[in-house]
Amino acid sequence: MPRPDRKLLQQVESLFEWLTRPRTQKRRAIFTRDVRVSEQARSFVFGAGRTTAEQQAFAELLLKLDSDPTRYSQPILPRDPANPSLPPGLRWARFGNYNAILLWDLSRNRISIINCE
Amino acid sequence: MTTSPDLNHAPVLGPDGKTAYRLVPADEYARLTRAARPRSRARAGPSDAAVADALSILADPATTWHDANDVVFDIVRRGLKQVRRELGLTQAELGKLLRLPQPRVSRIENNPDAISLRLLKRIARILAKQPTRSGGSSD
Repeated sequence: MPRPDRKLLQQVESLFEWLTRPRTQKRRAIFTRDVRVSEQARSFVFGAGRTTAEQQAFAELLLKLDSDPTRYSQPILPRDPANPSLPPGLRWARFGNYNAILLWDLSRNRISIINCE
Repeated sequence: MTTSPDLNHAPVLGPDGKTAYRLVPADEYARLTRAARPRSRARAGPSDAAVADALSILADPATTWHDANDVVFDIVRRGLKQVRRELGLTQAELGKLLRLPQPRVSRIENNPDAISLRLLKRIARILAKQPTRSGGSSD
């Protein structure tokens, strides 16, 4: 039996710190914004090969994005300035060894995690 | 080629007599280079293909969207299950610590709606205090 992963325990602990910050016991109070995850991104996070630590890194990213979307993500800029086809608010953020692509819709106060790689 | 454990991290001295290189096992080298790779990818950002995929997912009205609350709770439950296993606790043993019957522990681990924040926090605290055990565990 391997030794328990202390880092994992710390991540669980830090997640609980995040989770228990709101005074309410309601689960819906975890996020202050409308945060949603596409089926594609969810399948990636729970897919084969993803470790629990990587899944927890994703959860931490969601919580960080909820606290400050612009601080914890970077804008995706069009490669060709003459053809700016990317929607405004398209951003990316790192979790573990992966990138998540997201849309930060300021007018709706909504963060959509679109996909991961 | 087999490497003697004695050679792991063996220093190779430079002309000045100081350590210039260290010999590391191939699997450790691979792990170190893997660990270094993401940093450069992180600076580069997502690939064009991933961005193109994202645009098509966004444009597709059939895309299913999940509430992030449910995703986070699912991740936390899975984390608890793994920690319990790594600590060598069965569901029944964890149930004893929590003063909950084993079927309830099973429901907690398998059903996101079967757990409250308060209980989740209690489980995490109890698991964090448990010493490592050498025995195996099962559900």
